[in-house]
Amino acid sequence: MDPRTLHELTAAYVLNALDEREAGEYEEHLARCEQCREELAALGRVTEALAYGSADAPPPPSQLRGRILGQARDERSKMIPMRSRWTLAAAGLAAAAACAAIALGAWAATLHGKLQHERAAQGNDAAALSVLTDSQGKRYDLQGARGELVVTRTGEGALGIQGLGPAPAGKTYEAWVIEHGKATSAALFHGGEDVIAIRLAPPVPLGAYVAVTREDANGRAPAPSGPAVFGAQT
Amino acid sequence: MRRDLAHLSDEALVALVARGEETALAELYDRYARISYGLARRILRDEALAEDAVQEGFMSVWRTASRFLPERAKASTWLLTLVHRRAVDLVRREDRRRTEPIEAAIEAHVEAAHDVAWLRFERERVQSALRQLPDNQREALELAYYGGFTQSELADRLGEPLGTIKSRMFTGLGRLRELLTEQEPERTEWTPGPSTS
Repeated sequence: MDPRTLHELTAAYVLNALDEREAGEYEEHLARCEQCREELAALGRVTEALAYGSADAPPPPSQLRGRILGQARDERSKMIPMRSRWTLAAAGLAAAAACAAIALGAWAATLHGKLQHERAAQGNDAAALSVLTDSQGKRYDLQGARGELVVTRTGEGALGIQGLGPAPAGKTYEAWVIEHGKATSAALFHGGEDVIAIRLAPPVPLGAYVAVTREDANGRAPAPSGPAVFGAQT
Repeated sequence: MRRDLAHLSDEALVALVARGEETALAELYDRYARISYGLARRILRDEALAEDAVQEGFMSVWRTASRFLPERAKASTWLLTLVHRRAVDLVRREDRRRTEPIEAAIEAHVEAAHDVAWLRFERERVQSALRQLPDNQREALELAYYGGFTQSELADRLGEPLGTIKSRMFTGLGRLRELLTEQEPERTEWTPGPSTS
C-alpha cells in the first residue's frame, strides 16, 4: 500500500477498526513514520476520552479482581524466571522443558523453543553459562535489551541476552567493559539467535559499565565507535 | 512485599508491573477496572463477556508491560486500548455487533448512585462533544469504537466508499479532539503541530 494511504489509516487504527492484515501493514509503516507516531499519540488521547464516554455502567463484579490477580500470579509462577532458565539450559533438561510446554500450553510453547535454543547455545559457550548460572553471582538487568549481566564474586562476567536481532550486514556486536572512562573490548558476537550467552573476557569490577555497540565486522575497534545499543551498570 | 502504591503515577505502576509486581497490577485494576468494564459492557452488551474482555485486557497489561513506551502514550491510554482491543476481538468473534443507534441501546441502570462523580462528569463531557459532531462523523466513530466494526465492514454496511468512511473517522476524531480541548481550559495551548507530550 502506498504511504499516503497508510498514513490515512491512523484514525482507523487508533479506533481498532482495521482488520488484522491492515493493522499489520500500518504497524510496519508506523515504525518508519515519525509523523504518524505523533498523530497516533494525539488521537490516542481522544479514543481514551471515548472510553470515558461509555462509563454508564455499574462497577464490575467484585470477584473479577481476584480472578485477574489469581491468573497473573499463576502465569508468573509458570513463566520460568530467567535465572532458572539458564540453569535448565546448563543442565540440558529437555524433559523439564517438554513437561513445562505440555503443562502450560501455548503460552509456554515459545518458552520450550527458547530452551531448545539455550541447549544449543550451551555447547558453544559453556563458560558463559557457568557464570550465568552462578547462584552467588550478582545479576543486573540489561537496559535496552532483554536479558541480564551476571558477575561472579571473582569478577567474571557474562551476558545472557534474549531476542537480540542479527547485527546489520557488515557489522558485529561488540561488548565493552568501561571503567574510569576506559573501554576494554570484552567480546564479539552476532545476534539473531533467540538466546545468546556471552562470556566477557576482562574482569568486571564493581562500578563498571558493560556496554554493547555495533562495530564494523572486519576487525576489533580500538574503542566504541557509536552509542551503546544496550548495557548494564554494575 | 506490601507498600502503598496510591501515590505512584500510572506510568510508574506499569514499570512495576513489567517487573512482575502483582500489587502494581492490583492498583492499576483499582484505578481502571470500572471504566474498562463500562467500555467492554457497552461494546459486548453482555456482562459475562465484558468480564472476559476486562480480564484478558488486564492480562495483556501483565504480559506486555515491558513493551510499554511512555514516550509514545500515556499508560491509561495504552491500558484502555488493550481492553478495547480485547472487547472488539470478542465482539467480532461472537458476532454480537449491533446496528441500532447506540443511545437507544444504553439501558439506565439502578446503580447510578454508585457512579463516581468524575466519571459521570467525563462521560457527560465526551457525550456532549460527540453530539456536536456532524451525524455521519459521529455515526462512523460510534460504530467503529463502540460497535467493533472494521472500516471495511462499515463501508459495506453504510453503502459508502471506503475512502469516505476513512475520512469521516479521521475528520471526526480530529474535530472531537478540538471540542474536548476547548472544554478543557488548562489544555488550550494545543495547536495543530507536532505534539510535545
